[in-house]
Amino acid sequence: MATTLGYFLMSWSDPFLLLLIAVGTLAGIYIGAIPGLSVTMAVSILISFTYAWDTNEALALMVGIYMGGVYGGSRTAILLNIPGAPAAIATALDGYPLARLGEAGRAIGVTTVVSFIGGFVGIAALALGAPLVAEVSLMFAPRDYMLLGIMGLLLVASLAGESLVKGIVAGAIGMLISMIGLDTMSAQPRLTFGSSALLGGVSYVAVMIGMFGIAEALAQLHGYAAPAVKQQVDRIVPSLSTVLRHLPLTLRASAIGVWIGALPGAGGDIAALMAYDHAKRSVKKPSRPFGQGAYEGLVAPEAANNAAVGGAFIPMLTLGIPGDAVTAVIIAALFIHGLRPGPNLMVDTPHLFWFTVGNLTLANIFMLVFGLTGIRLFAKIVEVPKAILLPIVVVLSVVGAYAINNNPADVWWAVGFGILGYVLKVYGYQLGPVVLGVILGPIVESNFRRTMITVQDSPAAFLLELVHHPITFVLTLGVLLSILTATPLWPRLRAALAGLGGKRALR
Amino acid sequence: MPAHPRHPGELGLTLLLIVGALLVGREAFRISGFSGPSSPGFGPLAMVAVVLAGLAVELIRTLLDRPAEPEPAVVRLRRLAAAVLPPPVAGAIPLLLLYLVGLELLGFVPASFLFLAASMGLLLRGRPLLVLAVAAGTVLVVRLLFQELFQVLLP
Repeated sequence: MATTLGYFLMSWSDPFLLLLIAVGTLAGIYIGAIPGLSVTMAVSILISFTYAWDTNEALALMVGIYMGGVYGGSRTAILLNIPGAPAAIATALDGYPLARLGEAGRAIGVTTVVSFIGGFVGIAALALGAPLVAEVSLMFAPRDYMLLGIMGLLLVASLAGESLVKGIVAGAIGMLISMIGLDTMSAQPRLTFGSSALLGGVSYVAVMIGMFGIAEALAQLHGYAAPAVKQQVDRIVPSLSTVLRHLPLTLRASAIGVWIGALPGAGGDIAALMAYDHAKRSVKKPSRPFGQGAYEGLVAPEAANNAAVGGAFIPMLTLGIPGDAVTAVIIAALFIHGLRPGPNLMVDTPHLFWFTVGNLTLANIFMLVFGLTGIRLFAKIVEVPKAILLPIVVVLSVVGAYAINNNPADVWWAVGFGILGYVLKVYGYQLGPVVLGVILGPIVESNFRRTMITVQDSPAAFLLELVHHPITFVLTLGVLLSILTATPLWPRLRAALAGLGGKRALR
Repeated sequence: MPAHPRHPGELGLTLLLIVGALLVGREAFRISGFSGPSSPGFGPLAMVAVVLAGLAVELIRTLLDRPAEPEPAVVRLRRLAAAVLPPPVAGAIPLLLLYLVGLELLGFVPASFLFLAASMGLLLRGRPLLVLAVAAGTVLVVRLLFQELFQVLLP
């Protein structure tokens, strides 16, 4: 217990780590708030800079950026009707009408406090739930990891954007990129087209920087000249009665956030939308009609998306499966620092788990402090024109790509993937699935092949494996259910089931 | 009206991706042919099959989604340019490639300064003093921050 507490308080007692979390959280709030600069972009570029750092320092900074970034996205959603991050899409629905009613300051204050409460619920769930999940996952066989990887890949359904088919194509392209180079099991060159330069494979950090940094900057050049909208911000800190009035909804939305965040394949954006939907259904007398500035429409998504941060760390740390695009990038960061997220992480490096829980707690506190202060400075920073911001993003991406191996070839790869990513993005192929494929591809493929070797390449025996063992059976059901819910059949099926339930009730 | 209206040049991109996938497929087949699910070539072949199946669906959708009246080539080209290469992007991509060449020839500080000054100058259309000051300040901060604090080697 004392050792656990020591790990938990490691950052609290180290001034440098404390500073890194504070700087990370503050940077995350601003990066998350500036439309066009995403948290995923920031963490992707940052990974390469922290390569030479001590693991604890790198993790402290990244956790701060993540926590701050999820919250920061709400600022521009409220002030400008432009969600700074996908998790803030639902926030704009009632946040912007509140700003138009002249209540932007109060809306930001309420958002900050409920994000803080939601963040704590998520961290508590992580601290209590992850050790249990890790214990079960120690019994996992390769087939189970394969199924978990597939569940993670199903995140393409939520990242796919306008077309699920394009999302699947993008995910498969990412998996193909991950297969370039020498095969780890047979040492055979794959997809190298006879070039020795490709034998070492393509650095996934170069892919991430290209896709999330350079491609995003090029895409943002469309309409870069749009003038920044100025907003007046008044009183920020909400009254205790306001917070208490919304506390039951905050806690319910936080529970939704934890649950959705913990599911591999669903992140803060889905959690926020589901919590908004829950608020609409459950709150009978909102402060104003939903969509016209209801505080309940602001409270639910903001509590949920910050609770989802702690939730997303559960599958990430215990199973090595990302809950969203940012956790996928953080997994890559752990790989770079020689750590393997998964069941053994808590056995081999237990300090890392409690250290992360401590960091998240600190980041949550910093988020509250920074969220309620410095609003006027914030208003100035979000007004920086994109004509200045975007070239700086490109320079940072180039520096980041070079820093991976100090190899100019990685810079060319990053720019190449940036231009490819830009073209794909213009035509509706989202880049999140590509990066997901690059990161999860090796997990799925290697565990699939291991399973096939044990069943001597027999498809029938493979299918039997998927239903024969209790854990595998549950995971198989989870994968099938995830696939079903991603298809257009699901709403019809749900309506049909609801209809059946209704008839039974009438009887 | 279709759910996802056809973007200008979408048919060309889909065909290009199909050709690319076929080339990758040929390379994947060379690894170990169809020699079994645990072979090193199975994964790449399976992924190429997924890409081709998805692109086939997209190709059919794009072909079915043809405009009612064919547009003149000039109009199509103009729409394509506006969608994929509007002037800022058309200027940024060559600048980006020149920047990479400049990094190898001149080193980080001069190449980054020139890139920042040129791109900000083009995007802001003027205000040379502001552009030069921001470009110089950015290079200085990046150099100090990343070389000294992050201890990163700069290109």
